[in-house]
Amino acid sequence: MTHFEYQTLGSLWLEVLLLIVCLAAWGYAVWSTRFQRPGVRIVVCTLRTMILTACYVLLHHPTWIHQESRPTETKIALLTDRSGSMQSLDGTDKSRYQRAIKSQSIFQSDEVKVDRYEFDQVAYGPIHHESSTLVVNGNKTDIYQSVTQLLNQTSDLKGMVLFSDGHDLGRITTMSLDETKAWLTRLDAPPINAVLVGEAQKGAEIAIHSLEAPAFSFVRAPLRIRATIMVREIDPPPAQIQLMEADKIVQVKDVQIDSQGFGTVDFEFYPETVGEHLYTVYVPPDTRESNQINNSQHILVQIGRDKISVLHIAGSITWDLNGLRSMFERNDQVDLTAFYIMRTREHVLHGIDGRNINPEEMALVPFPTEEIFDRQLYGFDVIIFQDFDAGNYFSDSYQARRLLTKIRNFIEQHHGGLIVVGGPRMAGGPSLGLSPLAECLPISPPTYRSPYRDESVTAKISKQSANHPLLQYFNTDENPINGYMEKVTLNPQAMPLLSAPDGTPLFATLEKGTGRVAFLNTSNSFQWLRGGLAEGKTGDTYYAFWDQLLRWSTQDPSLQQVKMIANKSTDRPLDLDVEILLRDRHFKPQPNAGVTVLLSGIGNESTYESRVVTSTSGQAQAKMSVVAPGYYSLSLVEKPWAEMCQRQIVFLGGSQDEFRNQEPVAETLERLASLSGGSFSTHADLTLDDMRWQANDEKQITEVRRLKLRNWIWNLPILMIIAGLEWYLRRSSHLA
Amino acid sequence: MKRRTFLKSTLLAALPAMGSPPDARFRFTLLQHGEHWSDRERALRQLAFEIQNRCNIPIDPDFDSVPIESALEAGSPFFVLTGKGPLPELSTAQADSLRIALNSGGFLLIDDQSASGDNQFITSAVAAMHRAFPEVEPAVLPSDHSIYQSYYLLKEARGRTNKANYLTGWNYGIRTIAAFSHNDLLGAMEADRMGSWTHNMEIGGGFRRELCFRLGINITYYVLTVNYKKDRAFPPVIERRRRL
Repeated sequence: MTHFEYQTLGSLWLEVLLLIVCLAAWGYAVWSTRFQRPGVRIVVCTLRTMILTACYVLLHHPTWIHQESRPTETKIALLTDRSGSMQSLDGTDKSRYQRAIKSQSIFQSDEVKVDRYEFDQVAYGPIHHESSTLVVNGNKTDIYQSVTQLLNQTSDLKGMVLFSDGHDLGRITTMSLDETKAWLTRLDAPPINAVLVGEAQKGAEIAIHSLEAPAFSFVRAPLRIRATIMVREIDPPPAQIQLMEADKIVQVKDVQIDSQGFGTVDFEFYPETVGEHLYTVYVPPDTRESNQINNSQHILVQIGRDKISVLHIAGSITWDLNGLRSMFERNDQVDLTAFYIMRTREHVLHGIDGRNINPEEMALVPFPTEEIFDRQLYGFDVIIFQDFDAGNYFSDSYQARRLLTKIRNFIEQHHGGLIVVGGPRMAGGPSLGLSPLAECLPISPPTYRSPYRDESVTAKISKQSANHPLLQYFNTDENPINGYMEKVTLNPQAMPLLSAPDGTPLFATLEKGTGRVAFLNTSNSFQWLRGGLAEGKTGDTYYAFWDQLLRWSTQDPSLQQVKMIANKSTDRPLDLDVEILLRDRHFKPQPNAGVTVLLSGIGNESTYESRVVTSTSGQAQAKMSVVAPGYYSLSLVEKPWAEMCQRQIVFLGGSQDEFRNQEPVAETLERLASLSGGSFSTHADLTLDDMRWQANDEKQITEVRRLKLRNWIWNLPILMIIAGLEWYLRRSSHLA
Repeated sequence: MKRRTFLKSTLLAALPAMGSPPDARFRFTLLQHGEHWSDRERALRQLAFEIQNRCNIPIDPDFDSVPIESALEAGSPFFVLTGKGPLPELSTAQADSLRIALNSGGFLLIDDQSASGDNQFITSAVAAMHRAFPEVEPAVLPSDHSIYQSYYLLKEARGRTNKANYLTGWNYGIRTIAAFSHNDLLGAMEADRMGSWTHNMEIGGGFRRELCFRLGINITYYVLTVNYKKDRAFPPVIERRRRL
C-alpha cells in the first residue's frame, strides 16, 4: 500500500497566504501569454502550472510511504478459575479444576493462538505449562478484578474463554446489568465465552445457602449473623434454625420459606470473650435429603476489644476515687460508667445536713440499682466496687440477694470481672462476705462490721506470686498500704498476692467460673502516685498497676499463664506458625518443657501434631501444615498446659467464604457471556464451533519504506528541464 | 531478759506504731504564701464542718498548712491560697512544686480578700500561676462548668463582696486545676468560736451566705470527682432541673 504524507507550513494564515501568492503567480503566468498563438499558449501555461504546482507541493515536505502488511493471527485467552471452590468433586473423582483443564484440549489448533491464564482474586499468566492438579491457595473468586487485569495487560485478544463454577465473591455479583455493560464497554472487551464447570445438586434438599457476618466484631457489642436457607422439594419446609458455638446452642430462630424456596434468618447476640469464635448454623435434616452435609455451615468471627467497659461504683468520695477516676479519664481504652454515692442514706433519712433542700436544687439522681444491676449489667466488662457498702443500697434483702446473685452469675457464667477496693465505709457496712457474692470474693469480711486499721504497713509479696503480672509494677517500699480491713478471711481457692505483716490478706485474686475477681484491701492506692511524685519520680507505677489490673480482669490474652499465638500467612494459606509461652500457675516461665501442639480438623478427622521444647525463657515455636483447607482447633496436649491454655479455632486455606459455599452459579457466567457477545456452555457439551470471536480484520505491517521528495535527487533536474522547455518555446515564438 | 534489754526492745517495737500514718481523709491545705495566708483559717473549719454534715466525704475538720515548695508533701492536695495585696513572686522551686502538685490531681483555690478596686492580689496571683503554668491562660468558667453543678445547682459565683459573679479558672486538659474567687468566698464562711459570722456580707444575708457554702461544697466535690457530672447520665437531668 502506497500513499503520500504532507506537512503543513505552520499556522493557517501562512498556508492561505501561500495559496494566494501561488494563485496570483499562476494568474499572471496565464495572463502574460495572451499575445501568443493558442497552441503555444496552452503548452506554456501547462508548463508554468507544473512548475508552480511542484514548488507548492515541495514546500509541504511531501513524503512517499510504501507499506507491506499481512493479516494478524487470532489470539484468544483461556481463563481458568483456580479458587477454593474449584476443588469441589461434585460426586465425581475429579475436581472442577481438573475437569476444566481436561476440557481445554479442544483448543489445540494451529489457526488460533491460545494463551492460558488462571485466576482467583487476580489473574495469573500467561502460563506456559499445563497442570491438571490445582495448587490450593483457597483465595476467593473475583471475576471482575481478574478480567479487568487481564484485558488491561493484553489488548489484541479476539476472544476469551472463561472456565469457572460462577461462584463469585467479588464485585460482579453486586453489579447491575447496566453497570456490567458499561464495564465491558470501558474495557473494550472481546466476546467472553463462559464455560460452567460443576453440577448443581438436584432432588429434595435443605441447605444453608449463604452466611453473612462481619469477619471482625467487638466483645459485648451486637454481632449479627444472617443465614439464608434454601429448601427444594420438601414440604413442609423446616421451621427452625439453630445457631451454635461448639456444642452450646446460642440462639434458635423460626424461619419462613418463600415461594422460591429461600428463607432468611438474622441472629443477633453479644459475644462475651475475645478471640476466634466458630459459630455453626444448623438446620435439622429431612429423611428425604440425599445430601445432609450442607445442612450446617461454619463461620469464624474474630472478636476483639474496642474499649474496656467499666462500671465504677464508689461508696464514698475520697482522694482514692479521684485518683481512679483520673486514671480512667486519661485512658482512652476505658469506657466509663460511674456512679458515686454523694449523699448517703443517713443524710437523706435522718437529715444530718439539717436543711430541707429541694432536690430540684441539687444535681443528684437516685442510685439506679435496677437499671444498672438488672438491665445493663452484662454490657460491662468490669465492675469496680470502691469502698462501696453495697448492702446499704438495696431496698430490701430480697432485692439485695437477687441482684448480687446476678452479679455472681455475671462473673461465673458471663466472663465478667469484679474488682473490690476495701475501705472504711465497706468495713463499716453490711459485709459482702454474707451476701451471695461471698463465694466469688478472694478476700471476704466475715462479719457485719469489720474493724478498719488506720495504719501504714509495708506489704509482703508471697513467694509464689512474685512473677504474677499484677505485681509487675508493684514495689513494696514505694507502694505502702495505708489502712486496711482487719479480720478478713482469704478464700481457700484464691491466690494471695500481698499480705500485711500480721498476715492479713491485702490483695488477692480468684478465678471463679468464667470470670475473675480481685480484692484490694485498701482504699489509699492513690497515695502511691503522690508519694512517687514527692520523691521526684513520675508516679506512673500507680497507673501501670491499675491498667494491669483492668487488663487482667478482662482476661487480656497477654496476661495468661500459657500463651499460644497462631500466625497465618497469605502466601502459604495451609501453613500455621505457632508461638508458645509456657508459665506455671504462678507465672514462672518453664524452660526445657516438652509440649505437643495439636491441630485437629473440625468436621473432618484429620489431626496434626508437633512436638516442641521450650527455651530458657519458656518460649517455643511450632510450624504446622495441613493438606486440606478447613476449620481447625489448636490446643496443647499435655497437662497442666492443656487446662491453662484456651483452645483456639483457626481457618486454614484462604477465604472462608470460598470454602463454605461451593454451589455453582450459572447466572453469573450467562450474564457475562450475553453482555460481551460471547457464548455460554457447560464443560460437558463444549465445542469449538460454539465459540464466538471478534472478526479478524486487522493486519500486521511487516515493512515500511519512506521517501522524502524534497530530498529526492531528481527534483532539481526535472524542474530545470520543464523551465528550459518553457523558455525554449517562448524564445522560439519570439516572445522572450 | 534484762530490764534494759526489755525496755529497749519494747521501745523499738512501739516506734512504728508511733509514726502517724498518712491520713486518707480529705482536708484543706492552706498555702503559706503572702502576708495574709492565715486570715481565713476558721472559714475552712466552718466549711469542713458543713461538708461533714451534708456530704459523703470523709473529711478531717482540721486543715494543713504548707509552704508552696512543700506542696507535694501534702496528703490532701486541695490547696487554698487566700490573701490581699500583692503576693510575693514564686521562685523556680515553688513554681515547679506547684506545677507537679496540681498536675497530679491537685487543685488550687485562690480567694481574694481585697476590697473593690484593689487589683494587686489578682494581678500577682495570675502572675504566680503564669510562672507555674506559662502555657495556660486564665478564663472565665462557664455557667455549665462542673463546679456549678457537682452537688448543688448554682447559677453564679458568690462571696462576701460582690466584685464578679463568676470564677476565673485555669483549665489544663479536661480538668480545671485552679480557680480564682473574686468575692472573698472564705470571708463569707468565717465564724468565730461562738458561731457568730466574722464578716458582714456586702449584699444580702443568710441565704447569700448559704450560697457561698454551696459553692465551697461544689468546688470540693469537683476536685474529688472531676467531671463526673458531665457523664452521660447527668446532663439531661441537670438541664431539666435548671429550666424549672
